[in-house]
Amino acid sequence: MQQVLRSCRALTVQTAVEILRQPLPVLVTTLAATLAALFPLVLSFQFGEEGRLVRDGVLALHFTLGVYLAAVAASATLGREIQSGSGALVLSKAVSHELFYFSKFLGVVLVLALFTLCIGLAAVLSTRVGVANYVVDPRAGGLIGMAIAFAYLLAGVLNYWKGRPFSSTAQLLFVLALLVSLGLVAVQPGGSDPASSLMQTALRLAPALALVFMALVMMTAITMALAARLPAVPVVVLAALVFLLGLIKSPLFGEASARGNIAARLASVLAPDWQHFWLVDALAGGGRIPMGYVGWAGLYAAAYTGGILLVGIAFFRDRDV
Amino acid sequence: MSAIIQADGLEKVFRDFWRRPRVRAVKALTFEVHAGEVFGLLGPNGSGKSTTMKMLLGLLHPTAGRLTVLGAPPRDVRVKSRIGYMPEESSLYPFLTAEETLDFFARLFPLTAAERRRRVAELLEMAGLTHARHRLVGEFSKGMARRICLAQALINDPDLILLDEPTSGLDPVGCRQVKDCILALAARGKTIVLSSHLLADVEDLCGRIAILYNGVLCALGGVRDLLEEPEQMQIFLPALSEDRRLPILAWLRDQTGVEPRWDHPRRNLERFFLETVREARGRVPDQTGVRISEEIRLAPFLSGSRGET
Repeated sequence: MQQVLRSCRALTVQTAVEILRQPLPVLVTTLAATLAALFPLVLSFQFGEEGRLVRDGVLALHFTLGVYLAAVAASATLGREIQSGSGALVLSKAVSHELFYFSKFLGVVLVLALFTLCIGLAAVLSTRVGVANYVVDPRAGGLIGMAIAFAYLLAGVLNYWKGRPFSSTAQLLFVLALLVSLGLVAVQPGGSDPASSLMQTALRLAPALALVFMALVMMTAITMALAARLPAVPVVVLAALVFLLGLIKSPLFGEASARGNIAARLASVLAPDWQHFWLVDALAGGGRIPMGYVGWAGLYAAAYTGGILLVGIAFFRDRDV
Repeated sequence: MSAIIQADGLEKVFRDFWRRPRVRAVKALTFEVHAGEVFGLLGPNGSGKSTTMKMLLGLLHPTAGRLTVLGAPPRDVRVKSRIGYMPEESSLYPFLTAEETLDFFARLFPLTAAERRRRVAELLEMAGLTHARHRLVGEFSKGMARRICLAQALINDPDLILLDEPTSGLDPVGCRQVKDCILALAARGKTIVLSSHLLADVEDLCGRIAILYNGVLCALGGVRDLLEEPEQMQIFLPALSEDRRLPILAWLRDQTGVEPRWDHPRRNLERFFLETVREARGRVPDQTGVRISEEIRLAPFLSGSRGET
């Protein structure tokens, strides 16, 4: 059992490293952080509700770009491994098909967790950019820009001098730079207790980010189940369809399901319900998402993800590689 | 001698999307591989060699027949922990360095951190890649990729080593190195199954071979037995002058009733090439890391094989 856990950890870390060393994750994260930094500048003078708009915008970015990252990373990591033969090589070692599949899933989830952390830090900084109506704190926005520039420049230098892989180094440095930026904003002089204000913002945002992260984990499980049997292009198309189905399941199946139509009820149960994970309205007007709700949503996500993982493993365990 | 691999009536049918039979890649294949031997699977492209290899590794499910490897079904994880596999293509992770690649594969076996580090260092040294240990595998030349691929197959000190086209794409120097390595492993008692369509390699290395064509076993037996021409024989002598040679030939003609032929033996082209390169290397400094030595130095951790099932 101990060796199974060690193998699982090795495969998970290797999967995450392999994904992070490709350009996609760092580009998606940079795009999300840049847009997060720009949101207050574009929107804050229009409605006088800059805090909410920043929050909604950043969470929408988290959801959409996260779904894209989850679908592409999950389909690529499994599909490419099978196609290139590296999966066969790993499966020729003391690794079962089930362990291989589950570890690949965990590796993608690890990458999504890092993406969520980055976007969460950028979101907290971004809400600080618009400190009050019609007032913008350019230092906070500038710090996000500086964090991106610092991460890319230092990653470039380390790649040139030490041969460190650029993409993954930039991604990790970006997290570090955002944390330092957050610290700098927290201790800056002026304003009323910025550290406490940032902490409040972070505590309010964390449950919303956690909910979106759960949805991304579900999306990863769905994509991997499809990738267990299908090639990359159909996987991404079908994953997009499942995502859309989850968005419109209430108007699509709700009425028929309420009338007792078994097929509609079954479809309603099988389609993922993304609405459980999109609670940005609850944050409006100083509101908070109750932790009890996060717990129940977590249970739903865990059950759904577990079920889909079992289906995926059933697809994969007898697959010829 | 105990059988490490027992295949009985093995069949593999690949199916299309609708589960209709598309290709019968292997048909009624029956053979055994014994402990400590080097066994060759020989055949042209598409003859079912790689499919057979993958069935031995549990990567493909046989459609019919019975297969045991090291006394158990090949999908058993305990069996796989005693096998090393070098695939036809160097299917490694291009974004990992050479050192990370070996370390990753080592982590899939129950090794302590110190033992893992030792094996990685020894295998890098054996493969002549210590200088390139921090380079990404995706940037490697074909020869370097094959060497790191062979190194990963040995990370668990396997009892059974499966090598799919081990010398494919290598230059003669790399080929010789891999062949020397295989012979050294065999000398330590490892059981080796290799597939190839390079006849000279198989002849150099294998004790027994199976020849496949279109998925069917066409010949099975010892290389010497299969290649020997018992109706003829050759005699090796030091070079003789004509006045000494002619009476011997006349005597042979009288004894056998046929005209005997004579010729000077030729050097093997591979040997001549390696000697030429070795001489050139003395004059031009090398940067490839490939060693041309008289004796291959296996990684010290590679033990003599247990062999038993």
